[in-house]
Amino acid sequence: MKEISINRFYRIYYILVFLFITKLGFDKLFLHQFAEPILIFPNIDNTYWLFHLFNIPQLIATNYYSLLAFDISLISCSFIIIFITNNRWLNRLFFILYFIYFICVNTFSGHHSHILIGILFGNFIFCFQKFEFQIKYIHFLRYYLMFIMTSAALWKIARGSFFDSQHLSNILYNQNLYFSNIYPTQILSYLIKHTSISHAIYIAATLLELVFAIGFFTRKLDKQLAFLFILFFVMDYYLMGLNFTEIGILLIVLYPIKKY
Amino acid sequence: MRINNQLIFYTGITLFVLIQCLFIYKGIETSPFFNYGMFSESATKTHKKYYIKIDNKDVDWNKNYAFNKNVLLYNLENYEFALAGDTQVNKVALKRLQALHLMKHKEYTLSQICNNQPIQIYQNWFYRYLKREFKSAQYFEIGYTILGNQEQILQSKILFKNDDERN
Repeated sequence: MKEISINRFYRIYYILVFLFITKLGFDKLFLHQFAEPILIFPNIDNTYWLFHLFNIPQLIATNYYSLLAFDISLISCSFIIIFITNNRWLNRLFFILYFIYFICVNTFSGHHSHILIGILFGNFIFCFQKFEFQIKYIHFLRYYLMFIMTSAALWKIARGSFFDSQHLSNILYNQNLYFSNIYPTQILSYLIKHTSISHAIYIAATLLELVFAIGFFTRKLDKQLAFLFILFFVMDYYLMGLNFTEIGILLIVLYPIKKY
Repeated sequence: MRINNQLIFYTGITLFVLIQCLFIYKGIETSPFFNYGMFSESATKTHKKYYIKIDNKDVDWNKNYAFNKNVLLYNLENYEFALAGDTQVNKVALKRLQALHLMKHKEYTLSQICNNQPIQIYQNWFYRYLKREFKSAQYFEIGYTILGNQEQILQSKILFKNDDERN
């Protein structure tokens, strides 16, 4: 793959972040769109507990206007940051704002979703003042991307779902049950009934995830891995109705950066 | 100075990796140490299905609404946890507080991390959230059905509906 300069990387990254944050509004996931949320879901995550013990989500959710103010700060910061490229304090401020948003949205939506993790980790790149640490952290994120996919495969094998012929059929059945008429039911009904085919798809998906282990040893196949990553999440969308577009931002770390 | 910065950076990365390994071993998540199971948990066919009726008509999930459908469904599950007294969070919180000798902060901790307000406050939130789309709606009913293997309804339960008091 062709090398890009860190400035170009910065621009592309923050333009994508801005687009994804705008998309959250269309997904009705801005905090002011939660109609002054009351139900919380910190689960058993210590970080969420700390936020709640310090009253942070509750403070932001005091009323509609405080929620709106927070959303405006987040989106305007994500926009300004595209043009101000050399102010690390702005990058750090955005990192903190986004982290708070991440905790709040998962708390109030009743589910700890992983889709926003790519931006959470990516925002940390430009919290570093020095170019050399930015590059090193990008390299680290590249390994992290490999870890996400490889560990997903290992969890499936370790938990035994890889060997369970009913597993994907059951998942599809449960999801179909929630939204009984949202998907093209012919394909889904077929996969729910024909467990051998749905199991074959599950095995293929697990093996595809496992292929990412190669990324720990060589950078030569990054282009192919990027393609597989996209393929995996496109299939996820069509089969399971899960939209993981936002995590795709991590693909940017597969680009090699010019070392000057 | 250069060496110090390098050392701090690599210590940070090493610590992150070690803590991540610890949480993988424990099988729990503490942000930002996430476990990417991606549907690896054993799945059995769940026969419970939530429904929402607005003015006696079922909500059509194919339509694009002014609310997020997943938020609604996850919060319905969350609401049921609240009805049961947030048992898992309660249990883990007490265990952690005991281990840290912080039992004197038990009440404050539980009030901050559990849904222990009067249940009607939560119900009102659902109406408020649904009102984003169904502004002129008069009658709301939220509940669930339990289906049998042939998808026949075995049990049906209304979780809550609006009553005269709320109108």
